[in-house]
Amino acid sequence: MAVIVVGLILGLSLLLAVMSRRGAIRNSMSDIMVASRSFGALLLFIVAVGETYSVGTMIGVPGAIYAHGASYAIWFMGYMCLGFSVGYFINPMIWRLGRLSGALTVAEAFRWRWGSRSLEILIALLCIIFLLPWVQIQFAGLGIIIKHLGFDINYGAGILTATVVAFLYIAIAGIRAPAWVSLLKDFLLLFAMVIGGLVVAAKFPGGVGGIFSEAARLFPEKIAVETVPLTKNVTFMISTMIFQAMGVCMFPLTFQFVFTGKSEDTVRRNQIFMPLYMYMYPFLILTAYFVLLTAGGLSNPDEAFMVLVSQNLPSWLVGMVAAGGILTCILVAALCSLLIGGLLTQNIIGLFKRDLSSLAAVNITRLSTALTLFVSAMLAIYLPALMLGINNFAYFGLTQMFPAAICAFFWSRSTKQGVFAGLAVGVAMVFILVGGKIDIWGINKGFIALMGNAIVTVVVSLMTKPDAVTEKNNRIYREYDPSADIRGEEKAG
Amino acid sequence: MKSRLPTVFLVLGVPFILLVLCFGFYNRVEPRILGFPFVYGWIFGCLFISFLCIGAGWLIDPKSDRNIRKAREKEKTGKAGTAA
Repeated sequence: MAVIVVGLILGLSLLLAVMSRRGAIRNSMSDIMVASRSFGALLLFIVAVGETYSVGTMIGVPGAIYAHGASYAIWFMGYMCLGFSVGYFINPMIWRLGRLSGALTVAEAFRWRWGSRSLEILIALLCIIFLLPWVQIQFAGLGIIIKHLGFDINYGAGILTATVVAFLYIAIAGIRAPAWVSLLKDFLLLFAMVIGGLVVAAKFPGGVGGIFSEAARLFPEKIAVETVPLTKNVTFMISTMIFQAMGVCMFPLTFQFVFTGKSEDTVRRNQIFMPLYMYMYPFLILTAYFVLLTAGGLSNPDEAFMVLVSQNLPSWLVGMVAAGGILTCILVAALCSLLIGGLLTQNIIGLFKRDLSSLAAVNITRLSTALTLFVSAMLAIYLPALMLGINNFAYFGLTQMFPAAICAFFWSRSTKQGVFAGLAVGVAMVFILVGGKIDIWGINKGFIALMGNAIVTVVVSLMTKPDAVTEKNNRIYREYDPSADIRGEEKAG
Repeated sequence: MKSRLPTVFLVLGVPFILLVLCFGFYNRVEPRILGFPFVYGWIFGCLFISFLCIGAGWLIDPKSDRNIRKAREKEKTGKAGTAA
């Protein structure tokens, strides 16, 4: 039964993908990567939510709380909530940079600002390296869901099916397909988490209060954050919260959804409603503590949510919940791979072969998207890892673009040498700190690297001089008048 | 253009104060809020306050489309006021 429901919903999602082609421009790179910058407020919100809440939310968050308790719940919710605030200011600037440069990928936006090809390649590589594991955890999450579907499906076969569906979305309509499928996915995901939470509250004697009273008695260390010594939890939690709040805006997926927006103000308004969607967390937190009390000692904490679902829900509901999770995995994997495919095509291959025709570029993008999906599926099958570790690692690297972005928006005196050196030092420090397992008062490793990155960016920038291209594009960025775009829209409407 | 500082304070300042600076205060189990430990209740509350603050910040943001338009209308009617 569960499997039939999953199959039906996957079929429905493909139908949505086909429908999303309406209004699309065929074989245009701009349409595939940023939907020709045509999304209004509603679609933008759907894509934004779609890319923000990956399978990490449904599987990873309860897993982390199950294993580590409240400190993880606090930084998860804290960083996202703060991230929306940071995004209110940063996202419109990203949009402006994209609009003026005509960029389809994050790397192109930065290249334009300083007129630097080497910066473009560095950023493209950075995004590819730190996004690949992100695709991998989507598949790892998928594996866990399939395992608890109550039907003997081979793990590898399941993942390969998912890669095919993910590829179909992209092949059918580029970024438009994930946007529309998001609608279905978010509905199901929300439904899954609410159902999980409600079942738990109804089953446990004493409801919500009962669960936490029992948890406070049995696991007092997991219900509030231990503050002594400070370096055990608190320094990590607070530094990670601040660090990842900056990181949310630097996620290449954020750039991509921002680029699909119609105007600066559409992007800005979008941030207002983002915190409301987070009201699914109370339900997730409940499920995590419930499983902690009723099924302690799971070897893989990431299975907590699915254990709850498969043990407490009727088969058809398990199917709906699983379908929500599976769709989320596929969707985020599809979006990330499209992005990596785009970066490979536009910023790496495009460099060696400058005269790519539009059709060729589109085909190469599709090919590299397929390749990315395949590689990360293989990674997931042969290199299983805990989601939490990868979440951290991806942010360590991707957030290193934050100083570059701040320079792009605010600092006229920044130079391409400065930004390049800062980024290189930041990423190198990430690898040294992570590889050498160096720990400084428990502070987030990416945060320490970010400090080094920022200092180097400033010092090297001051030692060099901005060139003519940098000065010209900086002027264009500063003199852009968004109200001119408003007038344009009024005329068109 | 009018100052953007009030918007910055509302959108960024308030959630930062509530989530980061108040940590020492809200990290406790009692009193419970709807059965949840206080620490969770606090953060759930912050989500709604964030929503209100970002919304209010946008309403008074001199860079939002509606306020740019308003400023321009003011300018047209001859009153003092500067568009972005």
